[in-house]
Amino acid sequence: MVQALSIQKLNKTYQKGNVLNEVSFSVKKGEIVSVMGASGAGKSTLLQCIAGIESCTAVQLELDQQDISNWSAKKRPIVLMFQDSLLFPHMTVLENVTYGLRVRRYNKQEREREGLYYLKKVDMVEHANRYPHQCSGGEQQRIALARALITKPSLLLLDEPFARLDESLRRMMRTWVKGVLKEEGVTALFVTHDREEAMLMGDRIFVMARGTVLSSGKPAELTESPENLEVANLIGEGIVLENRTFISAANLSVVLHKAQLPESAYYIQEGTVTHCFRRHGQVFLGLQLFTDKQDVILPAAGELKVGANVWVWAEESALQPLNGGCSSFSDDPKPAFVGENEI
Amino acid sequence: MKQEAAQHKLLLLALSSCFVIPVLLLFLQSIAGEWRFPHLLPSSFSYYGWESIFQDASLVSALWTTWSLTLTVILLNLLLAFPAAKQLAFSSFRGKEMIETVLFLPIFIPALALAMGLHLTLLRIGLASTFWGVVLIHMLPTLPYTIRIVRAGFERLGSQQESQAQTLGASQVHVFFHITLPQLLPSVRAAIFLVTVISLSQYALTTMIGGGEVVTLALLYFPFAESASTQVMAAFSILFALLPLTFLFLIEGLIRLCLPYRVSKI
Amino acid sequence: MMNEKRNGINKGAFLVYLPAIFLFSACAQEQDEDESADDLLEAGWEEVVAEAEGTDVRFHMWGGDEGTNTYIDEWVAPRLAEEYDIYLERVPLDTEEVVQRLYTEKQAGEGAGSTDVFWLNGENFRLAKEEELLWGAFAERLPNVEEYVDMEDPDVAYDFGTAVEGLQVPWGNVQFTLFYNDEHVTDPPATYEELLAWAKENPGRFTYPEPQDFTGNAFVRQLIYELTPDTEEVLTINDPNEAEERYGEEVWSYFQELSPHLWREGETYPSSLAELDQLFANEEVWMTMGYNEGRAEHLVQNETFPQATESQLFEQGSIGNTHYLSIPYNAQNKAGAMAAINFMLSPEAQIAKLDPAMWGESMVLEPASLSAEEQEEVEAIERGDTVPDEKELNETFEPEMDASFVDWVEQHWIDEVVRESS
Repeated sequence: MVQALSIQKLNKTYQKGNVLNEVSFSVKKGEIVSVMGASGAGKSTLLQCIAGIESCTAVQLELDQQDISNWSAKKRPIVLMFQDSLLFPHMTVLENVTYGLRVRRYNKQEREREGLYYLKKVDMVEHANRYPHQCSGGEQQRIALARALITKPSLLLLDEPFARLDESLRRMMRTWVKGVLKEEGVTALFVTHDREEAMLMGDRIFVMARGTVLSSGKPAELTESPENLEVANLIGEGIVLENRTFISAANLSVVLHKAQLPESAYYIQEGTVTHCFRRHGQVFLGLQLFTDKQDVILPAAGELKVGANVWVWAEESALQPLNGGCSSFSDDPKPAFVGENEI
Repeated sequence: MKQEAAQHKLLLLALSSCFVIPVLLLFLQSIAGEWRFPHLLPSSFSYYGWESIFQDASLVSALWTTWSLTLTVILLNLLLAFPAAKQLAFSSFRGKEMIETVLFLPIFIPALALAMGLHLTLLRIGLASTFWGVVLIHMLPTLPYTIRIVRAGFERLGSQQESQAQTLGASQVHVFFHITLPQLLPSVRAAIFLVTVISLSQYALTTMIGGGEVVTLALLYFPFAESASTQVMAAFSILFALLPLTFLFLIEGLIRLCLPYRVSKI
Repeated sequence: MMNEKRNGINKGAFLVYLPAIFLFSACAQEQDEDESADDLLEAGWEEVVAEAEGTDVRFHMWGGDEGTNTYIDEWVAPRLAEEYDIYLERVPLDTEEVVQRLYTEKQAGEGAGSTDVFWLNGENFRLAKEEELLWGAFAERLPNVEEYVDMEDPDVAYDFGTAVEGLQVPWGNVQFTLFYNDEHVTDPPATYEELLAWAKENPGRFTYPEPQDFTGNAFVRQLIYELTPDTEEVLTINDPNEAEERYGEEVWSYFQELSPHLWREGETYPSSLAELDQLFANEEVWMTMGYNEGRAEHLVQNETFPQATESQLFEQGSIGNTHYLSIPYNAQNKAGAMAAINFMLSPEAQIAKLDPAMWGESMVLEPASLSAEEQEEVEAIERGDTVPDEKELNETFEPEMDASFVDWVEQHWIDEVVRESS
């Protein structure tokens, strides 16, 4: 696959210190990459540097095999979508959507034709002559998306575009936006602090912290086998033992009685049900483990009462060591897992 | 609901009469002949007030001077205030507080005191008693306000709108005329109005720096403040009050003509 | 009106500016001597007139009186243009501002000023003279001054106690006058004593502007001429403490006695003459006043004042003062200025000035020096019912006292009259 975006050793320094530190990665054409991290990790700054709104230094900053590091924001074929839709309040919806064509000196007819086509794509044609303040938050983001897509950008940057929407609307928008992006074949970087959103939107995920990319990979790779403690804490689905060992949720099983534990069970822990919910027909249990003080969500065969005691177990092969300097939280050399009973 | 609407209307009426009645009285005053205490209306009318101000040979040239002076001061104000206000609103740099303080000094220190010192400098560089000297001195009491107003406008607008437009491919110039300016119009209007009113009412500064070579309407009008002839005073006041309005209409017209977007609601 | 303002002794404001000027004038240059202008003081009059021909003259004068403005714009300027080919441009500026600007220009060594002629007297003249802002002793070079004006007459030779020395030329004079509403006041008071009696009989119908106002100050000061028979003695005093010592007790006891019979029982005073005029126009009070005997005429004509307005002079002395025209040191058109001033002192210009339809102000020319024909013309002018006649004006005229009296009245009046009475 062709590389769309290729970055090596990108640095961004403010007076207070480094905001971005030797960031390097590449994105393939047509790929959607989620950039996940806690707030302050440098995600938004990274997008603004790529868009050219913020200055930065980089050993390599290439888009479609062209060095764009000296290009102005105006010249870069990149569109950035912010948290707020930032529709221009003094223009109609159609004028907003066609703004990118207007600056490229398209004539009015072309602009309107393209504008209406994209409005149709985002299902907003009947709003064409309204003003942004007459549209709801979700509608405004859809218009903003149309405004971004109309310029056929080589790269679309989305900075938590759904953060301001309510939960149910957010769920709907995720799937819908991903559908539109894939349909258009857009290469996109999608910034979010929401784990679930990152997994849903991204073909791949970059995990960011302290101004650098800690880890990258397909959603399943990252959630099931995080490289180190920090990634495990940010995105891993499972439990972390003594800051050194990770057991993926996929490898954990639940039984109701101690007697049901199989012989192969290596890691054993008693816990209590904190909540119970059903998604896509599957029952999930929210559990709190007594000794390791860990919370974990696991699929179960049937619903259980909150407060019920259960046993959680995993085979020895499921234990993954976590590397990286972050394990220094504990100097304890003894095994990270201490089964209550070894059978 | 109905009662509430009626109450609103009443309140609006009361408020607007607070503005309208004095203006009406002023107009009546300007055409009154004999108008003594217990009488509600003048017992006779005369054009004496209007006649005597329009007889003044300097009126037409003073109006013209005032017009071009105020217009120049407005344009210069906006030209300087936009970049300054933007920097103050969005950038943080060393010495920002100091610059802010210096910018607002003219509000705290009487402009007259500053003008005293500037007068000498202007004399030496040959700007005293010239149109441009007076323009310069009128910047003193107006520019701090303009910067303050435009800065508030920028802060309300935020810098992201401009960034958004840029990533969509717009040049700085295009962003300014299509995104920034249309949205800052309320600030621009407020600034124009304030600058006009301040500049129009500069008597001492204009006298000092203009040295009698630049005669504005204020120079004709102010001496009459001590006059017992209320008709002349009233007629002059009305003429004086009309000027900012004409400016506002003119600039509004220009804006509507030149800017591509027509919106009333922002 | 115009005289009160123009004569306004406002030293305070000027002093406030001084430190600022000093701050910025540390490196002021020396001013070049204008030699060609000095030659002009030696030149014959024909030469002056020839040099003035075809020039513009910028006349800076207080512009708050439409009558005065009309006189300059419609009578003086067209005739100067026609007869002398001189173009007089009237610019409305406060005299105080003109003097202040000249001062700064002097500091900056500015040789080319924008004022050719200006109108001044009193404190402004004193400052201008002290700071050498005036051109020189040009008065005696003007033919009309030689012929019609007695520069030695004390009323002319001393401007608020400052010797004129030919640096300025008298243009007109005004006298303090009381105006009353004839419908209500049948027997107008002619002395301060009678005024007190009248106020007691008609409580609330009289008041005067507080002495921060120029006219109010003159009203208080004028009482001194009734208290002392010796004008010369008054004129020798130039120290507020001495004034307080000599006249303080009598003056303040008079005003304390008057106070409870005034409008609003003396609890408050009009802050300006304009306010008193409003009260008079609305017939709330029955008297107003003014430092200009002719001021009521056009106010009656334009129906601001009641038709029944009449005038009264104080028999024991009514203060008068003379106002002057002068040429600044850096005037660019001194020849034109001389020619224009000379014209404004011609009998025809001075007689036209008397006409109440224009300005309605007294002449400064010696009546005896006029031709019989001109004297008849003067007689023929009807200055109006509200203006005291010339004879009475001359009889009651007393010169203006030293500026220190003004300060004295301002400083003591609040303590002695307002605080004591309340």
